[in-house]
Amino acid sequence: MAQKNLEDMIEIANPEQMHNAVVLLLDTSGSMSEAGKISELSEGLTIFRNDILKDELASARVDLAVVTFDDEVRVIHDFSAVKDFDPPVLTADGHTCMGDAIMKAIEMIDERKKQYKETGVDYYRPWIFMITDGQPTDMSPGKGPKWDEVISSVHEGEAKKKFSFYAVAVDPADMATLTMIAPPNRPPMPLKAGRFAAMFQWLSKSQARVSSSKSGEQIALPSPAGWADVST
Amino acid sequence: MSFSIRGASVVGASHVKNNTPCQDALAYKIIAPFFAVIAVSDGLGTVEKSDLGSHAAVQAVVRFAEDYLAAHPPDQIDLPTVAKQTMLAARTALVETALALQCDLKDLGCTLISIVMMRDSMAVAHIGDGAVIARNDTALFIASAPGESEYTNEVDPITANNWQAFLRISPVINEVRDAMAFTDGCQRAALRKTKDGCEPFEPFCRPVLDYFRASDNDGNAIAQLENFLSSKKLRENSDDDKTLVVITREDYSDGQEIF
Repeated sequence: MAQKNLEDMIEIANPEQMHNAVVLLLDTSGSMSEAGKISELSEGLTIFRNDILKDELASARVDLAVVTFDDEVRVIHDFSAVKDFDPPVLTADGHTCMGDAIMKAIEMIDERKKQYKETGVDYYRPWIFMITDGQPTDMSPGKGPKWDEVISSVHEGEAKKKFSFYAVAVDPADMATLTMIAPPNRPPMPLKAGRFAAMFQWLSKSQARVSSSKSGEQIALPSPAGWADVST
Repeated sequence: MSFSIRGASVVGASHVKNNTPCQDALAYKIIAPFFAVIAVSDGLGTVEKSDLGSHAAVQAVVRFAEDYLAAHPPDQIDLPTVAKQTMLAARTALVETALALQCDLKDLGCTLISIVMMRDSMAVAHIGDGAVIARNDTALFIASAPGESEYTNEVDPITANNWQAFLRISPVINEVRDAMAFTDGCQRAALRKTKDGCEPFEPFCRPVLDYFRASDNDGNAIAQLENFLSSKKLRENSDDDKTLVVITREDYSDGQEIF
């Protein structure tokens, strides 16, 4: 084989990294100011950022957006690499515009996927990860077109694999309503009291696993037993 | 011998990091001077025994092709039929393996590419991702594309209940000069997306085929291939296991048929 090194003779078709879009959907309504929840949530964002940055692959692939919802829905951080995310100190006030927030997250995912397609970027199934301690104040179960639109968008989106939707219920969240909102195959996970840090560590580990795994139907995630009350 | 086949699998960086074995598997055999079979499989990273599944699948393909050729004269061989039957044999072997290991079939989840080649004709049966690129006198082309999936890491494995719905069988592909098959660890290096699907990325595929066409038929070729698959360029492009196999018709030289 009197030839030069094959590595030097070839070019790579797609040298860019694959992307793994994650939208964190955070409840910043008034009730989150109780029992130190909002500060634990803020600290959790820093833990999440630092853990992702420790994992070379997840750091290169996770494409993070953060949306808060109270009286308004705010995109406090649009999609970027995690290294470019500067976790803010969150404050809590007002009502819980959960329905609008969910629709915003879905719209952002659709738009991001469109951008990936236009630029030829390969990607993983995006995640919407919602953390709330309440119930929506901008819609009520079974009442009005908004409820129907949100529920069908979440359930259809999950069923058609447009995204994976996770809901974390912080005490005293309305589990019955959240269960109706969450996809039937993935009920809301109740957070054990004060376990925000463990939850964000689980989230970063899960993203690291998504970023390096190949699966059939479902990716096997780490057990959430350290932070979620899985017996519920 | 009218073919030469060089293939290798190397473990990916993410598997080393997570202490998981190489879940890719490769088997091939030149069964007769005019007939060869190649099987390439990628075990799903998220199931427990996918390395055992991928190995069982590729071995079953080769075994079936050997038995088939022993029982059928060449003029009665329909390549797409044989390719399809190798997949049925692999599926059966996976079911038997699951029984022997007392595990669920899905725990052996893997993709599978089966190539049967007779003289200058080939057919491919394929489930999941990875691809087969072939070359004739004039062009490189996709002989079998990755299965359709929006997401880069989600595939339909041969262990799925409705696996036959995802099985693709190529027609007979004639006048093949050489070909390569690979698992998804090489896919983003070798394929470029198009509006309608994908196409071979010439600056990757052509040098690889030319390299192995020009290489001596000795053991070094496989070591060279392993080095290539473990090289910085490919490692940086994918941290997954990588398998690449190249089949070259040796009876073909500068456009002239020797036999």
